Amino acid sequence: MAVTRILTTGTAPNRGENARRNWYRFSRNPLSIIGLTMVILILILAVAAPIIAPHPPSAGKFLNFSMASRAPSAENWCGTDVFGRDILTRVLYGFRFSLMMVVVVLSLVVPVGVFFGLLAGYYRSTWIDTGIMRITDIFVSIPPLVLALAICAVLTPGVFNAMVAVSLMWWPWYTRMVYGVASSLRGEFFVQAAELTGAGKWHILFKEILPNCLSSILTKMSLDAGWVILIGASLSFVGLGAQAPTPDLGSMVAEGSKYLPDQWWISVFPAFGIMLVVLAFNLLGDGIRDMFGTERG
Amino acid sequence: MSILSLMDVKKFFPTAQGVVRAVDGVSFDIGKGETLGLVGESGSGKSTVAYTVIGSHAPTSGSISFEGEDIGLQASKRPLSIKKRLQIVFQDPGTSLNSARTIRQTLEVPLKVHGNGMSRQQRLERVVGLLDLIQLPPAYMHKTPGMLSGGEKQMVGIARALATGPSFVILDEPTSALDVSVQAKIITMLMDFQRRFELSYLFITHDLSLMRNVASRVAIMYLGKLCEVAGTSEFFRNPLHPYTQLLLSSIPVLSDEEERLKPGQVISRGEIPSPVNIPSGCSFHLRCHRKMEICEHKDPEMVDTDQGHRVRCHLYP
Amino acid sequence: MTQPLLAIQGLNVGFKVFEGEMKVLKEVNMTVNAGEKIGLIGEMGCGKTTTMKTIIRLLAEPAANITGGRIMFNGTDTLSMSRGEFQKIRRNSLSMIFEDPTAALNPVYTIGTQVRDAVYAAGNFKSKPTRAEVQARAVRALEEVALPDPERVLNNYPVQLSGGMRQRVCIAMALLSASDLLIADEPDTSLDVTIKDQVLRLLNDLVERKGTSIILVTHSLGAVRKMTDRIYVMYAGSIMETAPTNMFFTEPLHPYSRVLVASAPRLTGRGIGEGIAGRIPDYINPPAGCRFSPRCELAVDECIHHRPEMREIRPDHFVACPQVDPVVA
Ligand SMILES: Nc1ncnc2c1ncn2[C@@H]1O[C@H](COP(=O)(O)OP(=O)(O)O)[C@@H](O)[C@H]1O
Ligand SMILES: Nc1ncnc2c1ncn2[C@@H]1O[C@H](COP(=O)(O)OP(=O)(O)O)[C@@H](O)[C@H]1O
Ligand SMILES: [Mg+2]
Ligand SMILES: [Mg+2]
Repeated sequence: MAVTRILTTGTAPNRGENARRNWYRFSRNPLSIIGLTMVILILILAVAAPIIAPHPPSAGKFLNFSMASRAPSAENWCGTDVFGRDILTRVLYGFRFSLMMVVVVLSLVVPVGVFFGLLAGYYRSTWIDTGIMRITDIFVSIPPLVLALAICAVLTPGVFNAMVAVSLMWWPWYTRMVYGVASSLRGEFFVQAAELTGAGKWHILFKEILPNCLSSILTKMSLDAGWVILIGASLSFVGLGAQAPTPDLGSMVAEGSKYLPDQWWISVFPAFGIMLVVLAFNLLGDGIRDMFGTERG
Repeated sequence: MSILSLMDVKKFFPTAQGVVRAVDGVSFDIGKGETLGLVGESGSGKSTVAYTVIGSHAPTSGSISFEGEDIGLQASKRPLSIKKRLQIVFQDPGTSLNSARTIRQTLEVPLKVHGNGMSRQQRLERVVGLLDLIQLPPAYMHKTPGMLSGGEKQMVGIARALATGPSFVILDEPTSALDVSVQAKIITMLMDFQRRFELSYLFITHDLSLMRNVASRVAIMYLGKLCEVAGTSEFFRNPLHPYTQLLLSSIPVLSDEEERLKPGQVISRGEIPSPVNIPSGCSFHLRCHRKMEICEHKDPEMVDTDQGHRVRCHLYP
Repeated sequence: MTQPLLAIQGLNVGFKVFEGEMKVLKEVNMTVNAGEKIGLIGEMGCGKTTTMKTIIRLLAEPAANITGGRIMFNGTDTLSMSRGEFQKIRRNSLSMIFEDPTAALNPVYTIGTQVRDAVYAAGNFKSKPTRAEVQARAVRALEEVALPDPERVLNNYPVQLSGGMRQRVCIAMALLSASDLLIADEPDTSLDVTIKDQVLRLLNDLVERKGTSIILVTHSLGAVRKMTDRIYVMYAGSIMETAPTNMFFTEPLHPYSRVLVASAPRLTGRGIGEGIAGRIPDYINPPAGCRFSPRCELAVDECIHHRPEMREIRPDHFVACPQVDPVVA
């Protein structure tokens, strides 16, 4: 009957249209496109590292002192380090490692942070709000790197603990952001309408309020990706993150810095790698922000 | 028998500047199938009356009864059966719909809560039926509010209120953000729904000419208190309160015929004072063109002049 | 015949957006004589503000696009002027009051700072004015708009004033420059009935006393009837009807004007019209013929395919509709 026809023929006729409009807004700024391209390239390089890296064994415990500390050449484009490992290979694997860090940290941080933010925002001015927000205040009042350093120092240094440390200091920022959005949406008529008709709390939190926070969450995630990498690298740089021989960009810079300025390539190329990833995610984040911007057009 | 009755309802908000006496002792009854027009300038406390009745917050004091049940409770403590029968349409069509959800999702919320296990298919049919009621094509269910005009959004807001099959609907300035041509269309629909579904309305507005055409009774509100309540034709034939006269005289009308229906010119002076600092005596005396000595220190009582024409003014002892 | 103060001729304005070009204003013609009070009415989104902003060159660049027409001010085309030349006209002859008095005032400066700046900008001092002179003029300006206790108001910040008082301040500032034409874009919409009445009364007295021409854009048909000499009805970016205000309210002729007027609730209480079904057309692909034809009950084939001409149905009463019969009217 008629109703079924509507259901089958008319489902979400506007998806494609919306996607194209979003793309139009995103792509108006050429920098966003550059950022997106860079992120995709880095992603491809990272995923395909075992195939495209010139010397995959260099990523692990590999020693070849006959090749040690070679300057960039046709054979080793970015030179080799003191153990004779190919730096380009290690940078490509480093991307892998950085991206994995981003995925792990964000997938720990975002659900937790968002959930507490929604809860505190919706129950504004109750003990739930006070409890949650005072805890975030504690985390937020300590400089992030210092906190991560402290946590790593207490736990044994290592990749996993580094991620835990970064996650612990990161979730409050999502809580605060979502808190802001949720506590202002709470008073909006559409939330009241759902409440007054008797919809449950979870419906209101996840179906009414959360969808309106998605654009800010996505924007923040893409902007944060760069920072997560940077903090992870900083932890490794001071020796509290990834341990040798993990091909982590931060520890590579740290090790390489001992041989500056003579064997500059050992630290400069990994540092350049960090810069590229961070820059790429920041440009992408800006583009996403423009895409969700309120500005008309 | 009245469907809704308010007895001396007060709602105060404590704020940093002092206590806001938003609603300060309001009493009225609304009969079955009746439309009470609640009229006043912004800040007079009309929405606060609406939100107290609907249960957004509990009254500070006084009692509200709906179909014989006492409902002086906050919405979270009210039984579902009352929420089903008592609905509201909000003033601002822009924020009354969730822009991240489709019209179908919005209209399905009340059906899920009150539908007693309606199937997906039944809900869909009901959504199509509701859209048909407000004369929108079924394909609208897939749209998000951003694609709708202001009038269409407000109609969806009305459909959402009607979805549960209520007996009483509060309309908080449902058309004040819309064009007259759209307003006319929505009002025509609302009047039609009232007949078809035997609805009673509390119709809040600042537009007296609109009330002339839709209300069965009109109540004027100023700084949290009612000034005058009367049946519509009596009200417009014989406006008693000086504030009512001021309001009527301020209406810009479209014909000489209407010009003659207005009371003689009352020049508007001053503005509505802050409800934190309500003037002593009659709260209207600072702007009143017929102020007497007594008005400065004694607040008048509501009196019944005749046949349900109530007025609160020292001119009518 | 004397030269009109302002003559808009065949004005076309569009906006570039993602979907394409919104062709908003289409062949807008409008004439304002010196000292004349004009009312412009029409539904939301029909291009009233766009027309006003084009006159005073406040269109949002770069999206806005003037694709044709002329705006003659005292006989010279302002659209072909440079910014600098136009600035001079704007300073000496044009002012505008906006719908939202809150947005028009800067929240971080006192009213006094802003009014005094306007006093300076309005110029017309013979020599460099002293502070006292400027202050005196600012006080006088606020007195003119019947603000009680002007000295105190000058020391207040915008948030400390009510909406009605802010709108009066805006009017005072707009009237400071020796203005020939005042554009008031919905000055009453955000105000309450009683305040609306006060503000419109005031505006009316001031322009009458100074002999300023005014274009009053408003939703309130009643305000237009009370205040203006001539009315323009706009729909979807085109002028549909223009007539002396009295004649218009006695009998509106265009089908759109008729429904619009019939939709307004009346104090006589004989019910209100049915309103208009449907909505304003999409400006990306507007109807080829009459822009009202998709919603018009009288529309015939001709209306759908051909843009109607403005015809003088009665002396000085122009209507853009082929269905209006001069004999019947
Ligand atoms: N939650 C609140 N807290 C403090 N003051 C409030 C609150 N809600 C309303 N008010 C105040 O109560 C008065 C009446 O408001 P409202 O009922 O919205 O008036 P109306 O709907 O007639 O314009 C206003 O002065 C408003 O500022
Ligand atoms: N800067 C802009 N960019 C794109 N579209 C605009 C812009 N300004 C106005 N419009 C469009 O032009 C149309 C007319 O708007 P406007 O002149 O503000 O109407 P009115 O004042 O009659 O309500 C609307 O559809 C509006 O969306
Ligand atoms: Mg209100
Ligand atoms: Mg406008």
